[in-house]
Amino acid sequence: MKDLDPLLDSAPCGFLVVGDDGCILLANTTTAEMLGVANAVALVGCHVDVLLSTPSRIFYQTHVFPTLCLQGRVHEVYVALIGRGGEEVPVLLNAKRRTEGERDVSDWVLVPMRQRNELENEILKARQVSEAASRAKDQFLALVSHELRSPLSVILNWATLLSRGEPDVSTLKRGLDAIERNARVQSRLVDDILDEVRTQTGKLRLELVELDARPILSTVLEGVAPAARAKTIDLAGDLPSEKLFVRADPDRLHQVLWNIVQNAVKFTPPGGRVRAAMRSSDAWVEAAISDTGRGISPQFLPYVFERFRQEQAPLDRAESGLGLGMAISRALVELHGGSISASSSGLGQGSTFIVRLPALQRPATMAASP
Amino acid sequence: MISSPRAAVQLSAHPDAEQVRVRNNVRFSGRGERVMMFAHGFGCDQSMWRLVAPAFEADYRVVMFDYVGCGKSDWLAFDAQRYGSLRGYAQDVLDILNAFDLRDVVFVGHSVSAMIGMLASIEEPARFSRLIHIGPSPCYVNDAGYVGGFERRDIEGLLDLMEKNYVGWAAFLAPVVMKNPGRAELTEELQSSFCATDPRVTRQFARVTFFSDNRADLAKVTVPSHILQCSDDSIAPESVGRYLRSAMPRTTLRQMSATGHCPHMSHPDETIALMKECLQQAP
Repeated sequence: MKDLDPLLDSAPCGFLVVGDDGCILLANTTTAEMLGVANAVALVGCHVDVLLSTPSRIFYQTHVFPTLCLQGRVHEVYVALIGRGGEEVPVLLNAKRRTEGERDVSDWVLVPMRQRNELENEILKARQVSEAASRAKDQFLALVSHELRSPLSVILNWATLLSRGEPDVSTLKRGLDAIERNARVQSRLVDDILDEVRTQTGKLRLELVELDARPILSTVLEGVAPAARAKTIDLAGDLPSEKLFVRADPDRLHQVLWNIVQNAVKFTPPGGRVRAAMRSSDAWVEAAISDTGRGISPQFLPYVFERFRQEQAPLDRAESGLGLGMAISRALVELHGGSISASSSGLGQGSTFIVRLPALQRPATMAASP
Repeated sequence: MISSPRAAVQLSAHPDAEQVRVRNNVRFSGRGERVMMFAHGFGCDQSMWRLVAPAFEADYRVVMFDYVGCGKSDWLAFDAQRYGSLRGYAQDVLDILNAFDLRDVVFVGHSVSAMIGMLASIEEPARFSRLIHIGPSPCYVNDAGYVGGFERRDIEGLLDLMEKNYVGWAAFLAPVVMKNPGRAELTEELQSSFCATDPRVTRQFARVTFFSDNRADLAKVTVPSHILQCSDDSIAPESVGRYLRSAMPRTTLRQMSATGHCPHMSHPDETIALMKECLQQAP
């Protein structure tokens, strides 16, 4: 081994001379230190493959070496070395090929980049997250268009049909009913989208009043009852006799409970059961809605309240919807200072949703009202 | 490297020839009657043959090309579905042979291209006279009773590593190229460096290359073939070369003294000599 210039030997970067066959011909002390090897001489004669992590070795053989041969140099290649203890030592590699006597060799400069590597890992992860979010948003847009179009085409078809000729009274009634029903569906979709936008921009405002939460759940149950009956689902409430006071926006609380109960009915097969109970629990008023429906897979459970997420892929969905209801519900409950949670033992095992709002012990205004 | 795209067009009667020529940056050189086609491996482009191909130009009409997404091919022609398996790449080879009506071709494939050429020869054996495989592997991932050299997590690690090496410019420049198909100068700028690859393509090409398992196809090869096996090739170990020889009919195995994975770049003289030896051997 040739003697290395003392300056190069202790330079604040690794330095190697590598033959075209991958054999290390020269190494400086800094490289040995980076790898935790006792001295640089121990590296000489080793194959460079031994110093590289397996992915780095593949990358070197398939990308770096050919480029080095063709271009004579490579710049800022990220590779991971393997230290003596098996730990990865991330480095940036600059290399230049030259002829030395009869053979071609490359000079390698290795700059450790542990901190920068961690930062880059974060950037990479952030990029993957943002790409996933952007994909979800694209899917959501496609879904919104689809969901808005279905009721629209029903409305248009009926309008065309009714405007042609003179429909009899029963046809007219059926048509107007269908138009009204579908217009309502569409209006609810638009409301959801607007709520979603307001949530995102922080413009969702509550009209808080002190109220008894029980009648709100009762109204929701009455509203969903026809749909449950149509599917022969046993829907029942379990409400205590004492009042359960909370500070809430009645319309928004209704919206949250309606979302959950309606979802429970939607995802429960005919003959199933949906129970909605409300009770006081420590400092909270708690509404628990459980069903015997298809449940939630453990993989999906963490994402139940995320926007644009639905367990089924959009293309093979049996049930319609935007996948916004639960995200909006969570935002609304949190604005109330409460929390929402979901649990399920898995697919086919039913699920339980629990909404908790801070309980009001002594409502000031409520006592005065009739 | 002599290249003459105009001559290529004149030589062809096929209407799709021009399209294929542009898509795969097909280049012709040499003066021979017989045809020799060079196919680059994963990670580079046709320029990797520049030390070997000229040695055959006196006796052969030499054809070189870039796979879509590599080198100076048309990057916008990349179709994730078509190139979702090696068959899509084999179709590129067949498209070129058909477009220029090339027959009895000596196909020289490096690394993954060995398997691509093999798949193409199974589809249309009449187009090929011989296959010369440099550093081939039918399956890179270890399996019960088979040593490919890698575990799945190694390949996942490679994908992450590549993403990191591309993240600097891929994150900003590549989407610009994708969204501005009219702005050819952006793509040209990227393509001006050697072994340039479209990062979107490379990721999928890496997956397709390293997760492919073509062991079941080996017995279907009818065209005579020659394996040039490097010493100390960390991508395709010697055991893989032996496996190929035993699984493929009508094949010979030559052990090179060249080390590494790219003997045509690091040891061109030995590569040329062994190729000539193969070609002299009766098929």
